[in-house]
Amino acid sequence: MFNNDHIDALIAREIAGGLTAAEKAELEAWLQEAPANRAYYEAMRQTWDLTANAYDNMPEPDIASNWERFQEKMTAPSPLRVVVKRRNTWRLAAAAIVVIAVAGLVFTLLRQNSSTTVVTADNDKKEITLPDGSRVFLNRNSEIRYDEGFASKHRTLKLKGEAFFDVQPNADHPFTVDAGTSHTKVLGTSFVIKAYENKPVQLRVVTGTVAFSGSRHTQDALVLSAGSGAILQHDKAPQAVKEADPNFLAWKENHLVFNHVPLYKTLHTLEDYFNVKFVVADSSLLNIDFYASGFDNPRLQEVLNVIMVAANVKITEERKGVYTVSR
Amino acid sequence: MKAAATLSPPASGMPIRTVNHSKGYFCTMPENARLQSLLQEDEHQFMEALFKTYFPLVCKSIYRLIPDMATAEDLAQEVFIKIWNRREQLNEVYFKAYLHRAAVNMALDHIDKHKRRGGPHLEIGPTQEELPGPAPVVHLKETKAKIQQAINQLPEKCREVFVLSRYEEMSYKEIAQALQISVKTVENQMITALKKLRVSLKEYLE
Repeated sequence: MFNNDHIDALIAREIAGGLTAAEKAELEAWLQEAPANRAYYEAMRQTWDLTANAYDNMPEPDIASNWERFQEKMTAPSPLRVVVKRRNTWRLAAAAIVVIAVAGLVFTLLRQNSSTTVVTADNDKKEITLPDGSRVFLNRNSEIRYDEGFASKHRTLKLKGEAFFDVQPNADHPFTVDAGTSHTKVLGTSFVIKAYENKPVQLRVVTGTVAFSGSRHTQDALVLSAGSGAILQHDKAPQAVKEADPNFLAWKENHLVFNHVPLYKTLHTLEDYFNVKFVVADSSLLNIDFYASGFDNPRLQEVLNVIMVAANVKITEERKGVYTVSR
Repeated sequence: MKAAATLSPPASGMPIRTVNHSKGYFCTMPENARLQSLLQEDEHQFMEALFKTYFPLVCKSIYRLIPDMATAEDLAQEVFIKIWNRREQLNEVYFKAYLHRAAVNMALDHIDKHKRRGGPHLEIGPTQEELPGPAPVVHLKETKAKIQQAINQLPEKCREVFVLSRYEEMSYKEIAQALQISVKTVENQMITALKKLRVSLKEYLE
């Protein structure tokens, strides 16, 4: 009688499923039949009840550190996989990186005599004059490369990272920048492109006119004039941006301005400009809107002091380069 | 078992069981509306709000099926990466239920893969017979740890059924679908789980 499958199913349903009226009556009748039946049922029920709060004291995951880790992955191209932290995996990965690095070095050495590369490091900006007389201001962590024959045969260069271009007019050879999946074609103008790896490509035209297109090339080209901008998400058509970020050239002009923008935009600007990170635990802070006048040659602490007063928040340096924003 | 890794939201017709504590699915409707509007406005802000609101829920659901916090965190991260990669298809989604189901599927899929690769089994530790006898003084915290231990020692399918029913608030029908087994089997496994737990936890019963 104790191993009656049907009764077991009824008990299982009674405990965590749901019984029909008929099933309920049937179970009730069985319980009345013998005290042992009721004892059996009670044992099951008590076991179920005992386990109710078993996981109340389970470890809490750390949201801040997980969010930080997640953010890094969010900006990587899809599809993404989490790198599982296992020692063997790392050893393999390290070995793979060495192989790739060696291959990359060999490749670079082989190609070296046919192209020119200019690179900036983490805390480095450069101003370059190209063979055609055009000027390039290269922001940190950026790279431009052009093949032999630049100026005489072509004016095409590749950009990784961010650069401001002041282009010499030359109707014979349009000046073309390939950055990420974007192509920007100009005659004579000045503009800035921000194309860091795994981020959307952003363009701002300062003077003149440019044609800006995505990986489908000219089919979806946007023609943009001075003062306008565009953004290109990976694999999509470029889109004109209505509101220009007034700090787009901050890295070159060394001037920051915050004119009634929400705090999250300000923090993004500061992250870019000062190469730091902000952690905001309370998302309600993100939309605080405030005004702060222009900063020339700003220093981080000076800007933070103004923000703390203007937005009424606390900003503390948690560890080198990482700041926590709280109430 | 077929991998249940697809990140599909619960079908709209599927009844979402009301949760018996105060933070039921119902009470968080304004939260969902807020997230939906954020999704339209600024996908990065949306993601941050979603992550910070639901990461613990996702992580804990996975942890109950895979009792290792580091693995649970890794898998929870993967759940949110899938969400991020599908951010353009989330317009109709009810996030809490969606994330909960995604978390359960992610954990079940992980267990499944683990098994196929013949990796270390999850049910490590002494069998029920080898469990140490009752401690003279039993503290509440120890009790919880012992119950978790007892649950972790259940046979795999049995444990999955029990955890999904007890802690993930899933109906037998939902569990049957998630595990690709019949409702009848779910009920059998449920009783088996209770019988085994009653033996291993007898010191705390009566």
